[in-house]
Amino acid sequence: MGHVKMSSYLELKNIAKSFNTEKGKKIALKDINLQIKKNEFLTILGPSGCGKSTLLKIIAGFIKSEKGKLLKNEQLIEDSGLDRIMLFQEFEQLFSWQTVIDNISFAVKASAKNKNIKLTKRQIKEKSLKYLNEVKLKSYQDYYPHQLSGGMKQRVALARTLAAEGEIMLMDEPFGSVDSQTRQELQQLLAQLWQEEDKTIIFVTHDIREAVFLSERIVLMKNEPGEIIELVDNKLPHPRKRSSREFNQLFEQLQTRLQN
Amino acid sequence: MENKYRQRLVWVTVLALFWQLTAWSGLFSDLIFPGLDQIFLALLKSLKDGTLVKQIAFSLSIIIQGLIIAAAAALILALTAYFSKYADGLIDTLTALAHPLPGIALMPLILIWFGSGKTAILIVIIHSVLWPLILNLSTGFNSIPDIYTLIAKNYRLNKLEFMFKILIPASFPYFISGLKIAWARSWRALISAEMLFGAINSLGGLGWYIFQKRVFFDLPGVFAGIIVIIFIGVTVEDFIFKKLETNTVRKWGMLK
Repeated sequence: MGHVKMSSYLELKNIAKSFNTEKGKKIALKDINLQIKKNEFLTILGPSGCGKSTLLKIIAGFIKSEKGKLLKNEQLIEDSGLDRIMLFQEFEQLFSWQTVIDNISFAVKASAKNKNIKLTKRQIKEKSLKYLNEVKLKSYQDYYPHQLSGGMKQRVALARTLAAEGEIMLMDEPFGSVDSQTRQELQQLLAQLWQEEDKTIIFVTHDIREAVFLSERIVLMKNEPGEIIELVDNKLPHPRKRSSREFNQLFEQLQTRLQN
Repeated sequence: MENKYRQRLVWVTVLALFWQLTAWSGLFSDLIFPGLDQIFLALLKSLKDGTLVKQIAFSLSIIIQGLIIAAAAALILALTAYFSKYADGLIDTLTALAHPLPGIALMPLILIWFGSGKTAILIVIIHSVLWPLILNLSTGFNSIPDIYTLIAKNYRLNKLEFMFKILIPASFPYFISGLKIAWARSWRALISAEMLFGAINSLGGLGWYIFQKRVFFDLPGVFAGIIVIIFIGVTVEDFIFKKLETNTVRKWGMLK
C-alpha cells in the first residue's frame, strides 16, 4: 500500500479555462479547487465535455489556465516536466520506429538527463528491462509497436511512463481504446503497480467502475461549465472485487450523483 | 511480389520477340530499326572498351552528389521552416515559385552563368530535386501527431533531440516518397542536361553518350544507351528504394 501523507502535495487553486468556439466562448473549467495528497490514487470522473482532460493537461503543463495556479509542495508550477508524466489513450504515443525496449529506453535516458546522471549503455538496458518486466512484457523487447495488440501497446506505454521515474503519473483514459477483457487486466496491473510503488496517480475516466476499482478518492465533475460536484472517498480494501456488494453500492452511489 | 516480376519477364520477352520479328521482316531499314542482336552487340562492345562504363560512372556520380546536396539542403530548409514562422513564409514562397519551373527551362541561363560542364549539370539536378523534397518534408513535419509534441514537452527534449528522436523518424514515409520523386525528376533532368551541356574530355554522361551516337547515326548505340538508362532506373526504384522501405517504414509498420 502506498504511503499516504495527509498534508497537501499538489494543489489546484481557482483554476479556470475557456475556449473560443463558433458559438462563442465556452467555459471548460470554472473555479477548480483541489488538493491532492502524495502517493494517492485520485480519479477524476465525469461525462464527456466536463473538462476533465483539459484539467489534466493543465496539471501536465501542456496548456495554461486562464486563472488560478498550480502548486507542488507550495511551489508554483508553470511548465511541463518529468515529475508529471502523461500516459495517453492513443496507441500512437509509442514511437513506431523504435522497438519496445528502445521506446522505454527513451524515458530512461530522458530521466537520467533530467537528473544529471550519466548511465552506461548497459545500465540503460537493464533499467529498461526492469520496467518492461513490471508490465510483464520482457519477452517482447525486440518487437515493434505495430506487432503488438492494443493492450500490449498500452502496457509498453505504461512501462515508459514508469521509466520516466516521475513522482506523479497523469493518465488520460489510457484504457479507453481496448476491449473490456483487456481493460480489466490492465486495471488489475495498474492497481497492483500503484500498491507496490510510491506514486501519485491522477487518472481521468468516464467509466464509473474503473474509478471504483482503481482509486482511493474520486473527484466527480459535471459539464457546462466544468465544475467539481463532489469528492468521494473510496475505502474499499484491495484486492477489489467487481462483484462484491460494496463495490456495486459505491458504483450506484456515484451513478446517482452524476445523473443529478 | 514474385508474381509481379514473373509477369514482367513474360511481357518483356513478348515485346522483345515482337521487336525482333519487326526488325527481321525488313519493313524498315535496319539503319533506323536495328534488331536486338545488333543492339546487344553494340552494348557489349561499348561495355567492353570501357566507354559506356565511364559514362555510367560519370552520370551516377553527378546524380548522387546532386541528391546528397539537395537532400541535406532540403532537410535544413524544411526544419528551419518548421521552427520559424518567418522562414516558413519565405521558403514556402520560394518553393511555390521554383517548383513548377522545369529544370530544362533554366539551362540557357545556367549555361551563361556557369558555363557548361559538371557544375551546370549539378545545378540543374539540385534545382529539380530540392523543391519537391522540401514540399514533402514540410508536409511530413506538419502531419506528425500532436501527441508527439506533447511527449517532447513532457520529457523535456531540446530542439535537437526533438528533431532527431521524433520529428525526422516520424516523417520518414514522407521523406522516402519525396526521395522517390526526387530520384525520378533528377534522373530525367540529368539525361537532358548532359545532352545539352556536352562533354569535357569526352566525358559527358549517358545523355551525352546517346547524343553522340545519334550524331554518327549509330542507332544500335543509341538503343544500347537507352537500355542502360532503363536498367538503372528500374534497379534504383525496384531494389534500392524497396530495400530502404523494407528496412525502415515497412519494418516500423508505417507503410502497409
